[in-house]
Amino acid sequence: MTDHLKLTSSAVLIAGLCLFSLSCDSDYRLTAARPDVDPADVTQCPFIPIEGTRLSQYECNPVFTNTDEGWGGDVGSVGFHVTEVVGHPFYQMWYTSSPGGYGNYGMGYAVSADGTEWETDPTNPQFVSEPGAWDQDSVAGQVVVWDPIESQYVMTYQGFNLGNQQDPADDVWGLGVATSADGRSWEKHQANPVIDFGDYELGDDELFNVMFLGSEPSIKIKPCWPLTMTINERGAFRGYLAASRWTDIIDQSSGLTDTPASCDIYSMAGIDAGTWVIDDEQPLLTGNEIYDAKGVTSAAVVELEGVQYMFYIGFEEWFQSTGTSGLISAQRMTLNLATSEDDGVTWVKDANNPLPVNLTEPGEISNVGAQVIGSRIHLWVGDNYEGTSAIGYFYYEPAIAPHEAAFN
Amino acid sequence: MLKPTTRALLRTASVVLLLSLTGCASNAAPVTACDQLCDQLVDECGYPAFPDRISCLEGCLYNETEGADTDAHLSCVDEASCDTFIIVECENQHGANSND
Repeated sequence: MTDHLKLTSSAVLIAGLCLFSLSCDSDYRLTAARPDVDPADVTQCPFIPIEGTRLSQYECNPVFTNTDEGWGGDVGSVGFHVTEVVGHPFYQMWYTSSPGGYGNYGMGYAVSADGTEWETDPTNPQFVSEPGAWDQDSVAGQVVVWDPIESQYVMTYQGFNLGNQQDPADDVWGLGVATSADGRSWEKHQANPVIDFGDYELGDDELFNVMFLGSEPSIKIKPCWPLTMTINERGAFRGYLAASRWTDIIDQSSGLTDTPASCDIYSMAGIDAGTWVIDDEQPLLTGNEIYDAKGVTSAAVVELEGVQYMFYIGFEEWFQSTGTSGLISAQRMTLNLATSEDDGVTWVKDANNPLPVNLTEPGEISNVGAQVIGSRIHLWVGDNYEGTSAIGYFYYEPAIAPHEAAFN
Repeated sequence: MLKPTTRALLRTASVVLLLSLTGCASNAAPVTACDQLCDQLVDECGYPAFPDRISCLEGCLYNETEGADTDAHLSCVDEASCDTFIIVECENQHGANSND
């Protein structure tokens, strides 16, 4: 073999080895990376940016309306959770439904591999109204978290029993807790209601003393309803509820103001799922803007990159319904955002509140759920879709600048 | 008739090609639990949560760095037979945030 041939053969050999190296490279390119899937990559419809916000909305909303399961009716209250299956979100939803009126409710469960197409559990409803129970007339505002220490789901909810449905004196209202190992079979906590709102009432004598003798009420706040709760990786619970100051309630009762006191946000610590302590000293967030003047009906709190985000439904007015136990309810409801950079001690309302997602004017947004997935906060917002209560799907991107107007 | 030099070159090229093919075959990553898990989730069940198989594999490898027991996870997913309600619980029992 000549030197030239040896040289050429060597060149071919080296080129071949390079080719070999490149051709095999793909076998080793995979890295252990936490996925951050763009939701639009896995859904049938795109997400549309909402001008002036960091929000995008699913173009084919709503994503969940009626169960069509042969029980209940339209979807009522909704609680969301996400389990990341090998780093990819699988969505879970627990929802109440009822043929109408108080009582006779059921709790359904559904899952989705893309957040838009939902598969309802064939064993629904997972639990139903129990006659005579403290929560026989309603379970609502449910929030579900996964407790990694106890390896179980924990659900908190507002329950009530309206008694004879005429006299508020026999009503029972409170915070209920239920746990489940699989999301299907739920066991209600034996100490339910773990917060009995009746424990925060003032007796007639004390009311008289406060109203006419100027003494301080022994109880600072009266709960309106629970809002949401969170759990950290160490299994520590933190809750949020809406409550009114007794001094404000008494001012209204005395005729000093003509509308019910506002339902501001207070925090509470969960010693465990069944033991909660309300911090009644100071509200975390008060209704000092038009959009939350009368308080907050629903909230979801998540943490991303050291910042806590509270999406909440603020409302402007009370509505006095005639009939059942003289209940009052919220109206003119909008979605709003507040953030905290000191672990939830102080909160700052977003300058762009209210977030322009409500479908009706005035707004009829009923609830909000939020979950952090990768770099985004996924949101589910209950609203009035052409006369039907249904759930819309959105996401919020904290790291981006607000979306600019689209140019045509 | 090929020249001797051309024949030599062709022989070398053939050896290189053979080496490449056999080299790739022998160096290809063995079928891992992550491969099998993603076979189930992406190919068998066809869950849209996974934009592609690579994303699934990367997530699985990441879970392993976080302490997931992929073999046990795979066994659970196998038994789930694409029942999404059970698939979710397999993650809770054997995934990165489980107590396994």
